[in-house]
Amino acid sequence: MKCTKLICIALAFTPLAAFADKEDDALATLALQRANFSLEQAVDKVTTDYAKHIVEFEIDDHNNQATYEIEAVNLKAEEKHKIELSLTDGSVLKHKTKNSLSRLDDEDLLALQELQASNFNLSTTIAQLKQKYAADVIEFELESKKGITFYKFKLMGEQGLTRVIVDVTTGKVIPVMKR
Amino acid sequence: MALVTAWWNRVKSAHSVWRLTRLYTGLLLSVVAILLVVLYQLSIGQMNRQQQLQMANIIAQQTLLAEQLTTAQFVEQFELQAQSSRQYILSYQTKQQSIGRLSEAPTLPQCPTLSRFPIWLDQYDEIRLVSGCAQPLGSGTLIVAVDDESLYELKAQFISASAIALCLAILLGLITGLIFSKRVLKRINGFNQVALQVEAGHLSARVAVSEQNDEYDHMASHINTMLSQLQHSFETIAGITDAIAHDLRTPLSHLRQQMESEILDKQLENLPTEQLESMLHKLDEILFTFSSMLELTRLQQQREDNSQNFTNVNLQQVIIDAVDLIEPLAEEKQQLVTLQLPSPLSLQGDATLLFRAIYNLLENASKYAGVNAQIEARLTPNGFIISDNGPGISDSEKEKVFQRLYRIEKSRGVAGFGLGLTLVKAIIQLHSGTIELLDNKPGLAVQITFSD
Repeated sequence: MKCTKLICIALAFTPLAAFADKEDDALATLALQRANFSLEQAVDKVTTDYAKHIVEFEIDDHNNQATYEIEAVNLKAEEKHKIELSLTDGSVLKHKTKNSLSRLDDEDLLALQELQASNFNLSTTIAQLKQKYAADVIEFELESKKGITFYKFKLMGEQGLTRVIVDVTTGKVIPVMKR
Repeated sequence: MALVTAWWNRVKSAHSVWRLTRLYTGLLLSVVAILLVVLYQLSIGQMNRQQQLQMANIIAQQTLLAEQLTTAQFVEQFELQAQSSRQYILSYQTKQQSIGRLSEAPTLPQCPTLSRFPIWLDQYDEIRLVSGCAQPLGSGTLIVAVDDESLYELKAQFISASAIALCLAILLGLITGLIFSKRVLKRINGFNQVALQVEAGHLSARVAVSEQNDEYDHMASHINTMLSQLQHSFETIAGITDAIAHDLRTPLSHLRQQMESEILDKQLENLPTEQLESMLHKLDEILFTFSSMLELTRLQQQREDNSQNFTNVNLQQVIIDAVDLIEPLAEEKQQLVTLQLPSPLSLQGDATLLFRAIYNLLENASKYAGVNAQIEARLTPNGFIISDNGPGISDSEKEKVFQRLYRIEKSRGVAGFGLGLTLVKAIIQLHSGTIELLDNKPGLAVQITFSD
């Protein structure tokens, strides 16, 4: 009985959740359009000041202020950084460091090793994607599946939401299968 | 590595059964490999061919449609076709747009050459590896791909299963080989061992007969019967000669005594005794031959029974003593006897018998090498060599000289009974040694080698 109730509640909230996601994406796009400090600049700042390998990015808020939330890994020092940068001036609003990579699984480590071995330039790729799709990168993540390491980008433009997968080793876009 | 190579060379050359096993393993492997190839072609190969055929059909169909329809009509039908096709991923890429199932145009070889490339399935949040090719069509490129990940997995599983099957075939072949080697070669080695024992003079050696009553047992009983007959013949011949020698020795010894007293009587009476002395000398030769034959039988008996009493013998000293004794005889013929004793050698043996053997060989050398000959006695690390620069012995007669009472035709003019080398060989064999007649170029070299 309790289960049935839970299922009903879950079903009732599902469209709302989807709506909330879309709202978040729209807010993120709006924040990016108003930003004085670009994502490419934020990526360059993190790679120069903290760690070379960026594994995740999304738009977050810190005290009602939109931020670039970037996670980066320093393989050599075995450190994981979580940095929040201001979209306005690129100032560091929050910084957390973990001195262990024990939480990373084998696929994550493989992804980082492949990224280290490649000549992949993240900020150049972001700039190219923005131009090619006429959209803003609102989210990305480094992943490795079936021996292929790639960045999974989420772009938002006039066409709506676009998913772009870029192979780290070749630098080429992996085609997305349409439904 | 060197040990493995040596072992392999030994195995390669030694055992015929092992050679057969290798052939059998090779055949087994070939059969398994052929079966696997046929199985592959009938299953995965067939699926591959069907896929390629269907892809070729799609390309032919779209090429025909592109020729017959307007661009707009072609694009419209292509979109429908791409949507409805579940098994094949179709995409048509022009400079302006991307129609069909793929968002981007991957770099692919021209059809029918297939290449594997990844695609992203957003709804499942996963990457799939598909095989596809590109075909230029109108103003764009047609891309046909098929999701063959499961086929690839099947292929990988087939390959690993095939590798296991081939390994098992090798293992089976090797196990069979080992069983063959151990069971069959053990019995063949038994025959070889007996043959070696007989060759070494142990005529009583017999091949073991098992209860299996197979071909090997039949062969063993035939060989045993043959050996028994051979032993019986040898014993009969040796027995007859020994009996003659033994029975005649006593009366001949009495005759000798009578002749000696007759000579003494004649000498007292100052009568000539030359004829009697010549007769006595000939009688001595006959007695010497008889005692040699009996001695030979005794030596062979000792070897059969292993009843010899050996002590530690300094072979170097024995050779020196023998050379000392032969030197006056050699001087008579102006022969030069040299000694080469680089390092001392001692062995378990009978010093008297060894002395007789060495003296006999030196005496032979002196007797047959001729005037002014050079004779050498040389100690080797495991035996000795007595050599001369005389006329030598022809290859055809080298084995025959060891037979009882055999004499080389050209040596008939020299005094002897044809028992010397037979006795030497018996003595050497009693000491677990071998005797070999070699060409000294010119002359003869007798090489004695002791096994321990």
